[in-house]
Amino acid sequence: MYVWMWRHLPGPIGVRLLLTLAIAFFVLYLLFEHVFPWVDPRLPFNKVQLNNGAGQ
Amino acid sequence: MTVEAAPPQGPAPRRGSASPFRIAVRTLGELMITLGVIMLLLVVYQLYWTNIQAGRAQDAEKDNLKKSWVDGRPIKNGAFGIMYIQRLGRTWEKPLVEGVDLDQLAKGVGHFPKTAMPGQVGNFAVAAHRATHGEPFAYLDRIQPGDKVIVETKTNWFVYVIDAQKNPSPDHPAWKLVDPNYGEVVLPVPEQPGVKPTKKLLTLVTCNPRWGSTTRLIVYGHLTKSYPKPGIKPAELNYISQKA
Repeated sequence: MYVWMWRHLPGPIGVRLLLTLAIAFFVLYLLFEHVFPWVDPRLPFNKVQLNNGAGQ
Repeated sequence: MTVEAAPPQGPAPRRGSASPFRIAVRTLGELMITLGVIMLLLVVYQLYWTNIQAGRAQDAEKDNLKKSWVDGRPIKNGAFGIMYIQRLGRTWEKPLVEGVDLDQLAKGVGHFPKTAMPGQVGNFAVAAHRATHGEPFAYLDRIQPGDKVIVETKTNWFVYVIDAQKNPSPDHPAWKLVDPNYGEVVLPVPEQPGVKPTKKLLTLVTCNPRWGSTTRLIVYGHLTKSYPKPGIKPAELNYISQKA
């Protein structure tokens, strides 16, 4: 997979390295800004409310 | 009986012409390593990043609130007070926000909207995270009867004192665990539906165990004093000026 990606990146090795870094940062951004915030409310230790909406 | 190692047969596989089986195994391995790294990143996000974000949000709420107290301009959807609990730390000072949805709990300690406001007759009930997102109530299990919970609003300082539970556990007289569906803890008179309140009470709610949510940890208290603002800072808050 990663070998395949590396082969399909254009340009000399320097450009490929930069592109790899850019893609890695983009993936990190997606994870921290979109994926993990979506997962977060589904994790058990976030639930401090009372279930039946008491007091709300 | 001995088995002799078989001599290598055939030419060594050429680079770049791996069999489909090899490609499949290698790709599967890479996917699993990637998944593992993503899981580790999720742990970093939960244990580290949410606390940084919540810390920033809570500081912003407190700054906005203190500014609005000075210049008199109301703030929309912002904090309405600040809570101080010395037992949770000398620097423990959290904004009180309206509502107990996750968005609001990320900004501080959340007030159950249908319960009394600080200083009112009835039950001033709040909830906060025990783990991640700033985790204001991470160590609420350390609270003891007689501990003070101070709530500062625009007009007053309110001093609540933690009560011992009825039939207190010797290990933790100030708190008890209830089922997450047991909403009666935030009633105007906790656990007594339909009873008209006459006292000014306090309920603190968080999740238990700390990294789970099977029960809720409940702490009760009652109002003992209130000081008007502007005025002299109450002696109960003097611990803040002392060096840690």
